[in-house]
Amino acid sequence: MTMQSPATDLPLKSLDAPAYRRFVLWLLRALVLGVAGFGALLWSLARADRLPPPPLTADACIDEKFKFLAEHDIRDVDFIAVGSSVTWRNLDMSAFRHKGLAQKPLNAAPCYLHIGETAYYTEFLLGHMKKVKTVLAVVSPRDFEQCSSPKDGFFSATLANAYVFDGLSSFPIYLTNFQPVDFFKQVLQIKRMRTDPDYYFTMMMDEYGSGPLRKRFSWLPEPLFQNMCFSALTELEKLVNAAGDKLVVTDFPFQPEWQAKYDPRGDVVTAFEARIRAALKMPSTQFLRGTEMASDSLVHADSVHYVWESAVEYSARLADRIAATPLTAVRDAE
Amino acid sequence: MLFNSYEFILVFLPITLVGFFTIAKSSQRAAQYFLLVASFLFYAWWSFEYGLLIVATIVVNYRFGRRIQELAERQAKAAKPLLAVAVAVNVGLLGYFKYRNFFIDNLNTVTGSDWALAPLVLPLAISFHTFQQIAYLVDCYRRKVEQPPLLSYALFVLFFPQLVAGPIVHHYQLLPQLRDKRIYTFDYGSLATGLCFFIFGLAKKLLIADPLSFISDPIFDGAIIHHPALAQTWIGLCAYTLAIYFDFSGYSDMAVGLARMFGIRLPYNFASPYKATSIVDFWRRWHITLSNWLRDYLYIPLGGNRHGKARRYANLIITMLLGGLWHGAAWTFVLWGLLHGTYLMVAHMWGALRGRITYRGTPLHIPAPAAWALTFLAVSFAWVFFRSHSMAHAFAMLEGLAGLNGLVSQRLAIEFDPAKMLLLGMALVIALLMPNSQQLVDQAAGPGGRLRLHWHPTPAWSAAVAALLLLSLMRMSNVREFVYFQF
Repeated sequence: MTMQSPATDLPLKSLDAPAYRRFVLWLLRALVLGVAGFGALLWSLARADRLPPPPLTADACIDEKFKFLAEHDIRDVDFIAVGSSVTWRNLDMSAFRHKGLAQKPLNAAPCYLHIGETAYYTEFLLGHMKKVKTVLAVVSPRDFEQCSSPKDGFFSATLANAYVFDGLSSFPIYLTNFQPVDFFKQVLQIKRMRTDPDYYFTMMMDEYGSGPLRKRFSWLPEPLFQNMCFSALTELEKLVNAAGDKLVVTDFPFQPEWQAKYDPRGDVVTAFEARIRAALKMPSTQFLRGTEMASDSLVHADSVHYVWESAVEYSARLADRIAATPLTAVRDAE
Repeated sequence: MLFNSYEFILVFLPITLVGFFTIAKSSQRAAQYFLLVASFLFYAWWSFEYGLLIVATIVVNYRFGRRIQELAERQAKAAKPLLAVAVAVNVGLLGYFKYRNFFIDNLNTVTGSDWALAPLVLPLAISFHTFQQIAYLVDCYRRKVEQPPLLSYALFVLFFPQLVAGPIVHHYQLLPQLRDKRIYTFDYGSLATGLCFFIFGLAKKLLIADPLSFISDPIFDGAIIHHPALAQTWIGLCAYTLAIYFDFSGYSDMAVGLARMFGIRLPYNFASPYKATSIVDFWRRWHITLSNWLRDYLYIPLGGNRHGKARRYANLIITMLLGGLWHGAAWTFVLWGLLHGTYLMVAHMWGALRGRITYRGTPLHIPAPAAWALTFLAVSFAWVFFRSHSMAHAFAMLEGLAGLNGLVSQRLAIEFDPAKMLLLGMALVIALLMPNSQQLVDQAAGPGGRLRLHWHPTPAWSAAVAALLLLSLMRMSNVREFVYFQF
């Protein structure tokens, strides 16, 4: 066995102390310069309207929603819509205000979220928005494809809280979550996403946070379901209930082309709705079948979105239906 | 506290450094106390209760050590039994926390019983400081320890750079340095080289290991459900092979760098292991302080190579089996150890045979590239068991490696975008062609790789190191624990 200290390999004290001292100082200067340079980059991108939203999730669409929340006063909101783009793009929130269901509604839904992520996101929001009384989620089979546990956060709740509710500057978020490839891809696209209403990936939002689609696109995703997603829906219901709020869930009216391709006999839709009903267990929860709001006059942009004019009409029907359904009778009626 | 966290880098480390050298100006002893308290806080940040547990093991082992050496110096017969008791206490504690449930689960399987114990949280660092303290006790018995005061012994175990995941430091490596007056004077050279080691380690972890894990994790974790195809499985395995190296060697570099900032030199733990051209060579380069520990405190006491070939091979297998089990309480780790024990046995058999087998009068010889490829393949293959959650996962991966699930799976193909493949390629180049951290910073001995590169305290290097630090800090919000924290 060798009993030599590694300290014997090299001198303990450096021979050229001034050179090392200069190195440490250069290093510190380079760090300061680097941070300043990064700040200058952000500033110039912002001036050119090409600055992506602060990267809390590294997904522009979700981050843009956080930016929207941070830039609006949302503490007095009493009605929120949560979910994926099925919720985000299909709801005209003014319908709920006009129907007396809300005084200050907010479409808090971003896009892409599966129902487990929606549960995590909703818990984050309800933890800070104490005046919310109603939580609405419009769902489609896409939301139930592949779910994480609601306990697995897809963003840092601490950082998001500081940014959205405590006024933290966005600079530390850019600095600590910087992902160069995603960031520069977004730099190229973000301007169009924010200004072109006809772009499929448009992120233009109305005053309530809804993201209207104006053009039609062909997109017919295959229905895939994961059991864990229905458990996540139960978790969503539990946490909404724990916050003392009411949950309203409705499945989006299915596009005829989609039904013709994947569900000509209506079995998929029937089974999907049955599983949602089975997952929702609280008496205060409303589940409204999408077919009740469907109409031939409504025009789909794709399988899970309406074009905005139809979304307005759909929202009015949905608001009527929510208002007309006595809370305690909902589950019995189903 | 994690090395790769903002609270450590921006708060704990600067305060501890400034505090240590400021206090050391007036009292070395007070500076040692300060460093000890800081190290305790570093650990207790994670769990105060387990912090107290580690303090208890320090006090008990210190008492054991003194008594054992005292008896050994008097050549009293009681020395050996006392050493056995002391080692048993340490192994028992490790066994209780780490292997209790594994033992019960296996007992249930064998006997058909249904005993259930609540899962225990494994105290962080227990595997490392247990080995460190057992080595100290054995050396006390061998009368090789210059008995330190309790304060120095406690600092030897708790010193935060090496506490959580090594390198496994010996008393003869650290205690003499704690006595050396020079470490209590601030030195720019130590700070500069320490910073470089630390930043290279941080970058290895955050810029290479973590992104590589995003390639390998879906393949390994989803092996049973998705049945990965040949291409995906090999890419996933290659990504993991590199990820674990950059993760653990990155941690070791950070530990070496942190200690260096305090003027203390820790042993290097990795020396470009994937450049190895034999499995024996690999274990001289991979987790060096663990392989030295296993050699000195297990293999040699078992008899080493002193009792014939059969006994030597058995000792190798036992050593590596226990080395595998040290990494985790699961059969997958046992199998990983068994594989490496077998590799070593075959390597030694080959070494003995090589001179005697000739081809057309020339002794048989494996060309270096083939020897390297064989070694890399064998090591990578063993990682399948090391990384898999269960034997079922491991066998699902083996099916993929053998191509039983097809050549390419479309479902997993989306995981492999060009950026990820570029990262994998760059990681391979760094691991195989670049000098390692000690060659780069300390110009340590050994083949420096095909790309000659040496750090110097120049403006260009300061800009490069600052850029690495900035990029790393920008990736630190998605903090992932170091792989070796679980062991």
